[in-house]
Amino acid sequence: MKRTLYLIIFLTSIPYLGFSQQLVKGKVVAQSTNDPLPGVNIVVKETTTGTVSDRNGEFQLEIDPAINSIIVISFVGFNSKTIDLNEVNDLQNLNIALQEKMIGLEEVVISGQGDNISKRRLSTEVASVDGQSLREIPSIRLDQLLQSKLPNVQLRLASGQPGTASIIRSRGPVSAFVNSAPIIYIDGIRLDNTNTPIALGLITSGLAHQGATTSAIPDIPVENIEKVEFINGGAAATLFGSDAANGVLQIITKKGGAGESQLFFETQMGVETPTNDFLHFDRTADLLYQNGFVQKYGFGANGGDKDFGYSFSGSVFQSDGIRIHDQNQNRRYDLMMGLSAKVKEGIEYEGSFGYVNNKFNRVRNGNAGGYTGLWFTEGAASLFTGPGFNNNLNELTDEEFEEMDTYVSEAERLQNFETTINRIFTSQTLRFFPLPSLSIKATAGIDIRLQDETGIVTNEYLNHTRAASPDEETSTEGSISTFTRNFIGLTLELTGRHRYDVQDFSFITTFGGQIFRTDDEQIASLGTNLVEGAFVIGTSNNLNAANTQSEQVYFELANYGAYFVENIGFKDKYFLEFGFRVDGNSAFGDQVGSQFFPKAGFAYLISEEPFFQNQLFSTLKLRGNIGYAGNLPSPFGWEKTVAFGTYDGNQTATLDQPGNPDLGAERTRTIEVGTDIGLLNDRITLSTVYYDALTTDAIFAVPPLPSSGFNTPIEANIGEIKNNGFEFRTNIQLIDQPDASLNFTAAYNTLNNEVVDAGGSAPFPINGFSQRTIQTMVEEGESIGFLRGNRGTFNAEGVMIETTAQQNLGQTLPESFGSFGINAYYKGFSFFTRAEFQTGAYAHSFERQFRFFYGASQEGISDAEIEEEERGNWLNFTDQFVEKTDFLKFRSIGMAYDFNPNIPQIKQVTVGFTVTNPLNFASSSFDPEATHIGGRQRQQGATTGGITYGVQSAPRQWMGNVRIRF
Amino acid sequence: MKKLYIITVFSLLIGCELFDPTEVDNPNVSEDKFLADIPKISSSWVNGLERQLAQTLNQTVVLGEILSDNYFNNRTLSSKVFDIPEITFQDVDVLSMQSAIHRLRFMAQYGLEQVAPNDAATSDTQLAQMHFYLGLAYLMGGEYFTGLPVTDGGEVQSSNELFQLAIDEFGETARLAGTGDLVWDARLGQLRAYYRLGDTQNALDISEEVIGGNPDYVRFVSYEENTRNDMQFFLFDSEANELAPLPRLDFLDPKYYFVDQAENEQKSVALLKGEEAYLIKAEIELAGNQLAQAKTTLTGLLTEVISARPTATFVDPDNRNGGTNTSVGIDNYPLSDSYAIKFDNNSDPVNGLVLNREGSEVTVPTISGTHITEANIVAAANADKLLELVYLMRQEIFIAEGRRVVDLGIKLPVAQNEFDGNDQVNDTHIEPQVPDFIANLEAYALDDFENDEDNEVITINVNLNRILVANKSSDFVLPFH
Repeated sequence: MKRTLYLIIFLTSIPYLGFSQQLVKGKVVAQSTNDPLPGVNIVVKETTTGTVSDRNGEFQLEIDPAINSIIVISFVGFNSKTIDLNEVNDLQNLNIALQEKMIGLEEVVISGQGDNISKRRLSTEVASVDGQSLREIPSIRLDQLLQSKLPNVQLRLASGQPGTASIIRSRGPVSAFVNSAPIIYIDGIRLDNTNTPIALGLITSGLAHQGATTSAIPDIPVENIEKVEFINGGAAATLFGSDAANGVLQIITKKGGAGESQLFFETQMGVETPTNDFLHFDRTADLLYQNGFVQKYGFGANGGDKDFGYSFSGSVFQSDGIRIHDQNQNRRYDLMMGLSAKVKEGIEYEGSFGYVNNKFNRVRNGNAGGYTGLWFTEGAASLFTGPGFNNNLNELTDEEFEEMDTYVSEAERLQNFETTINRIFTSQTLRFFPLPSLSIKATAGIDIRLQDETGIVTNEYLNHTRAASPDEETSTEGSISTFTRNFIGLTLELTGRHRYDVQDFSFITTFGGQIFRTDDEQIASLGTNLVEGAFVIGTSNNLNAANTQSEQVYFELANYGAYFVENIGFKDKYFLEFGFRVDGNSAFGDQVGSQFFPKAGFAYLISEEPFFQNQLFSTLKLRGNIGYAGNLPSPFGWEKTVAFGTYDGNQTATLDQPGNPDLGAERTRTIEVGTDIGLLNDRITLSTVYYDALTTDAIFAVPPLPSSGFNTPIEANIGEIKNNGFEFRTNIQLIDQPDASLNFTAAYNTLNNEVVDAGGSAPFPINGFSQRTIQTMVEEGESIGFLRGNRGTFNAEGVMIETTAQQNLGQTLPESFGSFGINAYYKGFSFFTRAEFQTGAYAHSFERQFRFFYGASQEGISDAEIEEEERGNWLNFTDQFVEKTDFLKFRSIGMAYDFNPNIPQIKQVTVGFTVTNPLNFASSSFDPEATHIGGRQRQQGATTGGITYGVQSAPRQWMGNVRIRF
Repeated sequence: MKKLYIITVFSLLIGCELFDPTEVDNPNVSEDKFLADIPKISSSWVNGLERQLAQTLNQTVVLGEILSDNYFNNRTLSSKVFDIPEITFQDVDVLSMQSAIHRLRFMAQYGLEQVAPNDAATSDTQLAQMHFYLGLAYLMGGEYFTGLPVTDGGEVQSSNELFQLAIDEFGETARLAGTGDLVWDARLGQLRAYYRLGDTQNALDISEEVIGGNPDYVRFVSYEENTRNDMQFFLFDSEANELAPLPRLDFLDPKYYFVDQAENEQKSVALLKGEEAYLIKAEIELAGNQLAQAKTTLTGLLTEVISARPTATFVDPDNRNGGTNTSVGIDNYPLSDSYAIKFDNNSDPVNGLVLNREGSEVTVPTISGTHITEANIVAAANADKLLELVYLMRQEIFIAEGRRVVDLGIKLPVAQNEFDGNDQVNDTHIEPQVPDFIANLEAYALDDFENDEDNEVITINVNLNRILVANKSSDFVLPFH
């Protein structure tokens, strides 16, 4: 920072040295964003004459064309550009667009490093996505925004209903116990990243309704983001310690604009349509879905000077949703602000604050029992639900269909499940510079997330869905479920950074300590015999629900750790880093002390060697590292506890969880070697990484031995899980002209996962239903989450002759996955598309199995089998309903046009159009991604998806937008 | 400047005294807290044991009834194969039954070893109760399983060894209790164990003690809103009426029911009852070829006990799931009292065993009932005929109590989870016990019957009581023969 400052002072002084010159005026912008670039060096080639651009990216420079007419424009992180001024017509309006360097060696990153450091020095990879790219699609969910943008990460929306959990996974599941979602930070503050069913929760959060589980990730603030960084587990995450083995996602917000204040206003409007690609009956869409209107309005401002900066943006989002009667409607308010200030000499301040209010409705999902829309239609349960129908929707006459439509419409309308989330986050950072070579950063912040859910089941709904005759009608069975979850996360961190340069060596020492704690309180209540028309349980004087009961849980977890890392550079091309983190945690058993996570790595920039200079290779970096990171046991999981209850009016006591005083963190050791190659002045980049991750002390929530007398699983560090694979990434700049560019990015990853050692524990399910149906399992020698069910053997006539119980029906993890994208730009027009794919995974369709069982279709089972056994064998050949789920899905296609409307005050107008989820190609007859989220063992339990059961696919969005910058 | 830093760091350190972000308290009660800080824990522990007994009984009753010829499982997701009967050590129902019995055993052991010593207020009665639950866990283990470990991951004890352990624990119960109902509980528990061991003398002694001292004694296990009677749910509370009785037992169904509100009317299950003393005594007498004495004993059972047992009258909407069970080839269930029943193809039809259903009022015995009359007993021509009646009476008297499956000699193996994690469990322990004379029958034969709808006659596929008697020398059944 300081070096740049000196450079600026030095360079800005050059124009005043007194040559007789011709004046050149211009502006430098980033090619991808068109944002002005301040601080860019503009130097006359082979001279010391030059200047730097100001806060608006503008510059002026006096030159003598007789000496040299060529100027070189260079800026850290961007490819340099050379312009011959003799070929330029208008020297007063020079517009220069710089292309970001693809390898990004000079990019400054922070995640996993304690403080800012340039990528050049690192042996690990930090993937980053800039804020502009996050605005490409109009989604309000962080996980959806990041889809296909993090090259080594799969982000799968498991349900199309609002606010639901997703599956996020990078280097395979390193744990059979903890969900594969990374830990998430925003400006150094940990966020609630719960992405599974939670400990309590009624209808909408969905313990039994795993397809529509409320997650904490969809309501993470997404406004005012400067960039998002992601690091895989292993050495990159070692400094985050005991629960970073799944990697770390960090959001960095904007703290101030460049120069003159700017304002923007954005409006997006469009329509959300159902993704009907995977429906078995076309009429399902007619019955359940609608096209919903979507609108979003955003506004923001930023500005500042060298001592003070501010950035602020907010938005209002409203969607009618794709379920009829607006039963998936979603309304959200987002607000985020960031500040930076120089408090006094040697003390700097940065702060950010965010607020999200998210409110949505959902309908009964999947296996909720009784009437549920998709089970009724796609699962053929219409046969016996309500008045009973012909469940082959294709065979219904128009009149019959109309009758069904009337029934369904009312059943959907009468559902009432609403969720409201209020989330407040703040991060406060003070940075001191006690010595020129030493900086101390103190960060404190909180994430408060309040989740309220209400589900009302009216008598009218019950009577309608049961098709009760007047004398069967109930007026006493209505109920109201409420659920509240209060989450508070607190982070305190103190980081010191020292830099010492001596001769060709540079030593960057980072050390610090961090405390984080989470408090998670959940209260669920159920009121039955609800009076019709009432929407609250009421007070004891006015009780709308005659019978009430409630449940409450409270989890606390505190982690305290210290870390140290040394990064040694030699000649700015050889780098060695080593360090460690030590953690204590309240979730560790009382026999477990602190846990130690070391790391070491090297990086070697061969391309900076004099002997390596050649035209083809512009960059070649070799790197390798080994590092440890962990995953935590559940809060209080190590303690042996007593449970109380009542029986015949008396208090009862019994032992509850067995406890384990030796319970510690899982440890994942990752070894990684890789190369980063830039060809043809980095127009082609290719990164290749091989990683090998071995989780030892893997926690298995082992069902206790029956003879132990305990019912609840014991958490024990007994397993070993391996993951390995290759990660390839490429970026090809096909066209790179001032007015035109064409860029292609792609990523391809392989994954090989295996439970090497189950520590002698019996196979156990992480998702699914009873042993007789379908489960995703953890078992020694298999990949985590493989499908287990009954396999049928058929004779030549197609009659089942044998069934074998509990067979491996395929892995739910992909063998390979990846993404690709295209960005094109031509004179203000830009176009992009992004897609994701996977191969080698399998999933089970319970809808298909039900359609067979309820006689709506044959699903490939022979006539002979049906003649012989009718449909009685339906659970004996579950393998027949398992399919390979290779897919290629285009996540987005969009285009935009930037122009200056020549209206005073308006600097730029962008008009765009985006389609989200436009195209899907899959080898399976059902949506490979719309699966039960699972994680059935516990809150934040492991999950791999793999079972579909009445889960709605993520909808399409067709959105137009206008963004005006003032 | 330096001073400023020192002051700042110092105040932060002092501030941390007021605010410790690493402090964490488990809001739940840990074992240490429970044993050390909470008074009178034996009392709530014994209550917990009683509730656990109710929960264990839920498992043994429902699964035992499905596994036997008493009930056919129409709908429940659990156990689609016990009706065949097909038993594998991987079956989740085998696991849940084993776990339920072990939990009762473990809680009783923990009560004696940890809870009682940490509670000075523990009474002898509470200790007696703990021994009683432990005895019951051993007894049920022996009755339903070929063998089970009796400690965490321990060696498998055979069912006979379990019966012996049960007898000892019941002895301890009686000793500590001195007098009162607990003594009768212990005696009846011992009686069952001696009976299964084929210990004629001890079984006879206790039978006579019960008949002479407290012949109509019943030890109930009660259910309530929070701990519901699962058998009642499947028989009555559930709209689906999942379980359908063998038609010749129709008049005894449903033993558990409600009139107004299911949650407030959860019926108790009889765990131990005086009837068993008569039935065992009669069986011992028949084994000793004392036909006349056995007839006297059985007549005494009818006149002294059963005739005084209560009945209940209520509306039963059960339609046996529409009476259709064609999926496994079982005919429609009879729903009218005009039906007659043939116990097998060679038997004479018997009237009065089927009640009018589907909304009609039914009258059923709530503790014990049998259609066998004094005349039937008197008419029995020989010991085997009478023995068949004894087993039919056992079946009818203990219906919906989970006992029939034990009489059939069917026993479950050790479950997969135990096998996988306990190296003292070997391959022989994971084999179920199904006597050949049952295993050789066709699938679903135990619940199968034919419905001659024109003549309103039901013919039961097999008369299992006759088969039992025909195989009385088998090691698995009729322990005194």
